[in-house]
Amino acid sequence: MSPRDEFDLDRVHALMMAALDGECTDADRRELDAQLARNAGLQAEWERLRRVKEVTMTIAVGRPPEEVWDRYRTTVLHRAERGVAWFMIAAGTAVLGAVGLWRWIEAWLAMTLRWELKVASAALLIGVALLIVSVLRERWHLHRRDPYSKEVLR
Amino acid sequence: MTDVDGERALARRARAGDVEAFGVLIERHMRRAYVHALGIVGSREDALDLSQEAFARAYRARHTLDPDRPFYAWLYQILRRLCLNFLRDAKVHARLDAERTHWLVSLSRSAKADPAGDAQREDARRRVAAAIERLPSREREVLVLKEFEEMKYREIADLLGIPLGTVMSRLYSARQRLAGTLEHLR
Repeated sequence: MSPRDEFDLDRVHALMMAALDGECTDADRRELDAQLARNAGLQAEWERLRRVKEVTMTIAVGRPPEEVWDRYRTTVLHRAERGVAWFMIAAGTAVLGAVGLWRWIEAWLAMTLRWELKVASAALLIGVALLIVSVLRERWHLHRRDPYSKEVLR
Repeated sequence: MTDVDGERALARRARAGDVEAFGVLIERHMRRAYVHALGIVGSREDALDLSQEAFARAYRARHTLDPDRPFYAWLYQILRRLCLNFLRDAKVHARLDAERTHWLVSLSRSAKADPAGDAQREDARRRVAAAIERLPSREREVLVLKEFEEMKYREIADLLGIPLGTVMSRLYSARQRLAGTLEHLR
């Protein structure tokens, strides 16, 4: 970092951060001191930031009790195991579902579907259609009336 | 064998499906993964859950692990993505705002008998801690890595994959917000 004559606020802020965190060179520190000496506003800002640093140094992250760490590894490995199980269940269900659907379409086209399966199929199709219409209507309704539909900043 | 070599050997074994080796890697990195998740999501329970989920996903994706690169940098990418996806959910935002958990604690009390000064310092600590918990997650993440994990700017930049200047500007913004909370405590 080489000293500059012109006033570069971003650079001064970067120098302040580096000085607060002990990551500046002697030359950086001299440059910062020179800027602070000629600008009372920057000096006041520097004092405020120094105070923040002092306070944050007396704060720590609260850690969970030791028993949480004792269980941590086992929990992770069980989760990983369950992930494989869920993947296999999902894959098996997808294959069986696809085969069932194919058989159902075949029977439907060949007009060999039994009457109780016809009733069940009709109920299923009507149910799915109602569900889709209901969800779309709700979305549409919310979209028109929700004042918080934009991103919520924390 | 150095730490780096040891970690590389563990990563190689974990990649080959050695559960024991992966378990050792979990134990080495679980605490900081938790703190880093906490820095992003700001809730203890969610940080614990997300950090565990990150390890579980890392185990399932172990074939993509490059043993010659630092294990934690790889894990952190998984963890960070998980945390950011978690925060994208508006319902999660509402819940986090409603049940803001206090995950920062005071480190020290003055040894001197100065009740008025102690009370003021404690008040300042409480205000700053609450303000840290309310920071935008991008700023809080960098601040936690710097202040509580004591990482160097370069390490933070490498971990997050952002330029050094961005690390400093996020720190500056975060500290400016915190300074605002101390304004009237003179």
